[in-house]
Amino acid sequence: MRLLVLLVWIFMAGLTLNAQTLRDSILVNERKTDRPLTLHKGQLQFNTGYEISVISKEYDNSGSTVSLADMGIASILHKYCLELNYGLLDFIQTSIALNYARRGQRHETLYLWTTNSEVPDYEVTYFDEYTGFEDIYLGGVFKVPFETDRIEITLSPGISLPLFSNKPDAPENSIVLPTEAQPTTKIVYHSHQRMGNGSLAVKAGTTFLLRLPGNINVSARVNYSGPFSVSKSIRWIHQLEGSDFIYDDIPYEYLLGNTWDYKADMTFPVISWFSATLSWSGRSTSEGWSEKTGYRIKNPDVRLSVLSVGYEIIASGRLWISESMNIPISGKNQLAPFSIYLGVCYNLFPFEKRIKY
Amino acid sequence: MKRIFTSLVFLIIVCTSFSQEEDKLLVAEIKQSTVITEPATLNRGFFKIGSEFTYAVEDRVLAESGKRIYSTGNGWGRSSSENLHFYYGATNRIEFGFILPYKFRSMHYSYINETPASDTSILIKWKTQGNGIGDIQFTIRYQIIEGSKTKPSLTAGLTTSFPTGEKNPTNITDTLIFDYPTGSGEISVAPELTFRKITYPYSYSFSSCFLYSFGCEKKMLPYENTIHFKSGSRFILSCNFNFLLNDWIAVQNDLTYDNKQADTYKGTTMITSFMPSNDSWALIYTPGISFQFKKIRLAQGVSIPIIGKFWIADPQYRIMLQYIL
Repeated sequence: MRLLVLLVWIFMAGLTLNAQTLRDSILVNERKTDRPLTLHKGQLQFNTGYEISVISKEYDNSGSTVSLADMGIASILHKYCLELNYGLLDFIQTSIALNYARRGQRHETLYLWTTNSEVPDYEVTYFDEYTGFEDIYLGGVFKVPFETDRIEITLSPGISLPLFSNKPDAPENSIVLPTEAQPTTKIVYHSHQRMGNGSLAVKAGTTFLLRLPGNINVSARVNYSGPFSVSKSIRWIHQLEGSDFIYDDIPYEYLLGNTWDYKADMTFPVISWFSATLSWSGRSTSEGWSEKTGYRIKNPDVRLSVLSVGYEIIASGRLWISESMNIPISGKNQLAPFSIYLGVCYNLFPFEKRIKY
Repeated sequence: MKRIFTSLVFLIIVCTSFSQEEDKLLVAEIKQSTVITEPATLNRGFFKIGSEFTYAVEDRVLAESGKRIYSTGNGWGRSSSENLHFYYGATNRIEFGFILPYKFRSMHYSYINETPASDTSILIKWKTQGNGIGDIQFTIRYQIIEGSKTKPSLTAGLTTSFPTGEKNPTNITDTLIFDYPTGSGEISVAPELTFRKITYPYSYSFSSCFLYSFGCEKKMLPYENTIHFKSGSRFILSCNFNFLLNDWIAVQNDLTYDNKQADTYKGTTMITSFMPSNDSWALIYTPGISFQFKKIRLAQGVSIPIIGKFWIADPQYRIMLQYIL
């Protein structure tokens, strides 16, 4: 009965929130290129998305491309994104974002022949599984007030909170001892890794938007992210006792690097409800260290540039659908995923007066 | 009495003349129908051309237990296809179709053989890829019960596939490096029956299909002799629910149950321990979105296997572009 009341309440709340308000007309008449960099006052925006990344290449220390498929360690990353934005005023917006991702990386199986038998004596398989929530982002966007709407500049400070632990779960290694029927010893090394950085980080950025004649928008964004302090995590070691793996965790400290990410994009409306976007984005991380190996070792410098093409369709004043294809161009010490992103954005003014018929 | 009768006749005539009539659509308007409002088969003289691109990776599988697991070893593959299709409405109830597929597939698998006694370590790589024309298909569909805005339709169809794609491995460098065949080598037929109803702005349909392959002689592995191969039969049940967001955007939802019997090699379901074949099935959900820009339709969706057994567990992305002449 309580569940029924709750469901009815959620349904009624949903209906009430979805009822039209006078301010809905603002969104109906806005193309993507007309939208300001911050939300309108009272506007609540849900952004959900799914991204599939095919990780079949990486960039090495010299920036050369290495085929992971040839090395037998290609993998797929599935990412689910959720972002909530709210316009406090016409020039102040708050944001909260959280992503969940999953990737499994398999390695070449090792067959070990220690005797002259027809079948291998040992079969060793390695498998690394990366799953979990990324760090949650809390931030704001402040728009600099200008008389003209040809130019917009925003400042966006924020923090990245390690809401979910990034300490990996214990491995799930297994061993199948040989029998007369099956003379091979089969060992599987299955490790677990988390997706979050596990470290409180400060973020600060700025965005510049220029509206050119012909309804073309050009924007540029620069963001800095750096760690607040040294963080702690654990790594696992194991020992085989009979046919059981015994695990022990070793704590270690690490410091995240300083990351600069940047993006330049050009958006133009092909027709009133269909806009195309061409973007170039990049990320560069330097500094930082880790004691995971038992020694303090500086993190390698990491760099990645990506070219994206995408579009957005305004299905209704409230509902926008977007898609983009992201192609890695260059990089250093970094995976080079080719990815496709599908996003749905829903907008409403929940605290505005409803229109009554 | 005569006056009353005459008055009644006049009254009925006047009522009939004032009653609403079903609005007649212009030919151009019919050609701009969305995935919701379009008829079950093309109208007479209409011609539809299109292209569908699919892309999938093979990373995880639905195991025998139904659990979603990563494939054994480091086997990893990509497959995509580009299908050009042409449909023609011979009458308002009969439609002919022709599908020309171009396929691309690549597979990687590697392992290491290590013998410490002789201090040797050998990396074995299995790397195949194939691209080319696949098996062409001809279809005929007939509306047994002709649908309208208010009436449901019942459509029977028959799809026949002919082995135009390469059926044997080619460009064989060695047993591990060769070009993958892009065709099955078999003739197959697939009768289907579809029930569809439009309740504007919604439409829903139920369909069933049975695919039977006649088998062929082909090489399964490089340097092996030709053997008799037969694809397992497939039984497919699907239901579909679409709704319009506005006049030109439709959200599509497909739920498909696909059951496939094991392939047979020389009458058995296993040729080597590396090539076993099993009865398999999956329940696949495909959300999608379709945009109608006048006579052009752009549709895309992602097929997600939800539950199943011995089935690829990764989603398949598809995008389609159509134009009606």
